[in-house]
Amino acid sequence: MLAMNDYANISKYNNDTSRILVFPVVGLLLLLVIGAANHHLLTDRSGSVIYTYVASFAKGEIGTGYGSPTPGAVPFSQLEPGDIVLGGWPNTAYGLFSHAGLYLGEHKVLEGYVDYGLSIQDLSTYEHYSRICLLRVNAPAEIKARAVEYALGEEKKMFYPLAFKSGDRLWNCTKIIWRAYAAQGIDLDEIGDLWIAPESLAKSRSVSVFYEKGI
Amino acid sequence: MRACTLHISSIIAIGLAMYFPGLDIVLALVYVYLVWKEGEYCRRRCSRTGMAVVAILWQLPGYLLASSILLSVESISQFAYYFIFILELWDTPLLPLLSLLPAWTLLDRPLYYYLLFLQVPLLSLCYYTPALIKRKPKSRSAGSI
Repeated sequence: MLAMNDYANISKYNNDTSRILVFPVVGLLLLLVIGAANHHLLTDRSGSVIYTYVASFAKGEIGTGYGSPTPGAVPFSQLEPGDIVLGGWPNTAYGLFSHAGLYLGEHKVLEGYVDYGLSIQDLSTYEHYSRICLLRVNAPAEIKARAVEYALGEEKKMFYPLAFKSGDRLWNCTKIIWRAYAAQGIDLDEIGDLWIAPESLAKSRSVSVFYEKGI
Repeated sequence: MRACTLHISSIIAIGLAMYFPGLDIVLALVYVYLVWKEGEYCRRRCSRTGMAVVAILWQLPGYLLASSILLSVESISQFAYYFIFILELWDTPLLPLLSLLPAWTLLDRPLYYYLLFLQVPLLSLCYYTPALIKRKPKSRSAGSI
């Protein structure tokens, strides 16, 4: 016969074991649910961030890339508030560009960094990239002004590189631009991706490229 | 090993839960509770010294990353540039809670940036705290069936 203490010990042992399984099980369930809802993003034709990242990973490219600055004056003076600035290195893991900023005017952009969160920076940070692309959203000036205002309202919020498009607590440099325009009724993501990468903005039919270098 | 398994699996689960805003906050709270329970589990098996060692070891990657960044070792390798990103990923389980904090800044950096570094020792402390709580004396009146 089992003593009460033995039953208590068996129950404690089961609790101790099941506790460790909580997150693996939840993680697997979430992976299945998210995967099932977004299975169309796993093909190369979709041009999704996850497919691009996996393909880059196979080539040994894992991050934002790096390289040497290339000479050439960039016509930053042509930028208008609401324009999008993209910068990149040749070996970026998630597409042609590694970084994006929303032009605010007066040589300032709203960007996202881990150590500064969503923050206002000087445009000169883009001068060192070997790839640069300047985009103009095809929208009236007042819509772009509202997008800028929206983005500024999220200043200093948390940067998280893997921030999904959903939610408004975690951001990355591209998500804030996408969301600022989505809030104005302009969706800059053509494929309904889970994440949005700088290159997705360049592919949007709602923007025009008015300058590019190194591409 | 158990604490490491808990942490790494929670990085994946809570990272995925961010797809459903709100669920990530719930899971972050569950994570804190489970870390505490793991501390209690360890207390039943280890001495205080042993528990302190485990409390440090299961967050060792976090300590290494945080100290590398604070000591500015990024100049030794190009890869070191990614340490701050990796630290943030390592801190994923509690990020949903940090994201609820107001967007205050200190020396031009957001509050959460400093908490990324502070989170590592706080998690060690959360794990170790059950060791500081007085153990209940064992009951002698257990009956048998």
